Amino acid sequence: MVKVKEFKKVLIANRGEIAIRVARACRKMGIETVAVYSDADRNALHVRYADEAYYIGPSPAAESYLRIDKIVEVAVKSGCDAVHPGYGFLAENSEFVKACEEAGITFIGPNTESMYILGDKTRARQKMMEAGVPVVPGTKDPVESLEHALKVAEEVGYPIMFKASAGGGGKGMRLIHSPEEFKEVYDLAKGEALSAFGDDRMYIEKAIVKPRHVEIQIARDKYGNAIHLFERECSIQRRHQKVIEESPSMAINDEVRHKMGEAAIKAVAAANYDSVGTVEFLVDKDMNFYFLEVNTRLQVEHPVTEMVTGIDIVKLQIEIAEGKPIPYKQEDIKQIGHAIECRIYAEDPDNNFMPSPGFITGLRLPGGPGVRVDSGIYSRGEVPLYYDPMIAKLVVWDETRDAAIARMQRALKEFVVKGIKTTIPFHQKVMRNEDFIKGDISTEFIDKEVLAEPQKREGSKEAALAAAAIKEYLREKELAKKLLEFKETCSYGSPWKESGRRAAIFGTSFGDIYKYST
Amino acid sequence: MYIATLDNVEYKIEVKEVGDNKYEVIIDETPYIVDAQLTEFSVYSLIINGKSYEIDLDYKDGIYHVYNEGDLFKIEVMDELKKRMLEKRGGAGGLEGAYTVKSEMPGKVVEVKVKVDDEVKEGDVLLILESMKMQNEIKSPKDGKVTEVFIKDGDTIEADAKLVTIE
Repeated sequence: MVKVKEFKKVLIANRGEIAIRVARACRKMGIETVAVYSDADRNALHVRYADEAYYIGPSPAAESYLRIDKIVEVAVKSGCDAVHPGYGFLAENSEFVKACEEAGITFIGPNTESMYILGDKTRARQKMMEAGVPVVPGTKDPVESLEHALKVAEEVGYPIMFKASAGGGGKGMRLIHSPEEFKEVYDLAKGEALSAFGDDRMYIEKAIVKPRHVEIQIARDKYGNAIHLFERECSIQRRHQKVIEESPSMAINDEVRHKMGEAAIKAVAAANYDSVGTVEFLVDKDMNFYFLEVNTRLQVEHPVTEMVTGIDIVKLQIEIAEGKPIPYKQEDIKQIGHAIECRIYAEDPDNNFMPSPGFITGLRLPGGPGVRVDSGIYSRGEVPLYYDPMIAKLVVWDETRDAAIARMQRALKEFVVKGIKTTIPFHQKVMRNEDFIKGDISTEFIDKEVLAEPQKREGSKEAALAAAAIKEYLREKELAKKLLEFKETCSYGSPWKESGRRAAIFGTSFGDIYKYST
Repeated sequence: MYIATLDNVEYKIEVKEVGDNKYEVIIDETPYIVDAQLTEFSVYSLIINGKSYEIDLDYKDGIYHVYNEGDLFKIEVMDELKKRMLEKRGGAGGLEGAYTVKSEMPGKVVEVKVKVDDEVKEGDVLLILESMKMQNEIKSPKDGKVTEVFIKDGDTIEADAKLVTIE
């Protein structure tokens, strides 16, 4: 029997934009919020946004935002009914869920059992196969011999990936197109694996050529009601990190969209999941889709779905945790228009994406119709070096994809962050890329197409040259003036004379100076 | 007269102040009347023949980093005489003699890979600096011998901090 417990006060165990995003939902729902902060975050915006704020330790995350004991202690002392973990940090940590439960505090997320099953890739894959959800064909078992390998490859179907069991992060992988090629490279690949990892065990998986990363947002309550909120296209990645997301995806049609939604619901139902979550799939060029993994938390890119469905996903997540049934039926959920999100990182795209923490000396946020900015930054605020470099999410909505791209371009143009470098110029280049505009993208798009080739500049060379020359002219003039002032003050000596001279030069009296300085 | 260098191409530029925040800028013999206003932070508003440009300008190590429409233009601007003089002496600056590697970002020193008297080659990793959850290899810009190490493992450093001197 499910008990409904309406939350009065929620601790948000996170920082930055997501802490503010969660606090916004709480505020709207009339729930009080409790923030936690580290040394580096005393001046952070999430601290001011919350109703209460407590210090939990030194700047490194391991000593503050990852301290389960301290966070639970604050939650208990401040009288919270629930904890929202955001994403990252403790969001998928079952120890944290257990600690909350033991302290009598609701964890806003799935039950530990389903987190345990779905949070692990191997266990999740097994569960999906049982539930009849398509997974990437192949086997994690090492092949025994060339004959065995050829047989497995034939079953899976070429092209295949021949992967080292001990490898990871793209290392020790080979793409093989035919049995002839396989015979040629079999020994070579094993030899390479042995020298690289000291282990020559290899396994076979179907190769998904130019894969697209498409994920389904789902919600399932404690009564077993489940809905999906359609898909998000997340193929635009740099070094396996998502940087741009959109909904709907250009890679699938309505029929496949419907099938993927059904499969996602089946996937989470198999684990008795009871929160909002995301089921990730790889989609090939023939619209075949394969289960990748489940994210048992709120996703960074959830606003894209909020823009096209109009549903507040954080509010829905909190209500499910309170024990309330989902207030929508599947047929109520509509995917309207097109939304795009650009993740703005404090990195220098003109210098190999070097991290760029520091003080923000100036900030102008974009606005106008269809534009949403989720961020935790402010002018004169600091972006600490201890945490994730994502400083803002810029999300736009418009009727069509083309219109949304145009709107994103104008919003990026309005977005000014001074003092630190950001990836705003990089996003502008992607939005101008012809293949992106056509929707012809894959997970390799950024690394292989956008960054590999020098992009044509759109900015004005003449204006840039003129600006630099004028600045140099002014700099020289300023230097000459300082030199002159230095000579004069040194020779005149008296500070009174000096200020009198200044007043004469600037045309102000002492009274004026006093007036202006108050 | 200035020599501006952008993408290895030199431009002859002359700047004349013709009024309040108004300049006549001649780029390779083409004159432009430029209305230039510093509006906020380092953002300039330029109006050239009625066209409005927003230009973001940073000055770093003798190079202007100019942003327009999200594109970066790295421009070196130098007085013509100075430029020609430096060229005669064999290049502006360069990496001759002792060179001190500075940090481009604040961060935490994870591991210093070199010590005083070590011989290093260009591209050798000097240290690993962690910032925003990412580990970055700081490499030697030249061949030489390490003569000074300013940091140690575990140090938290500011941007522009001296790291290692190579001679």
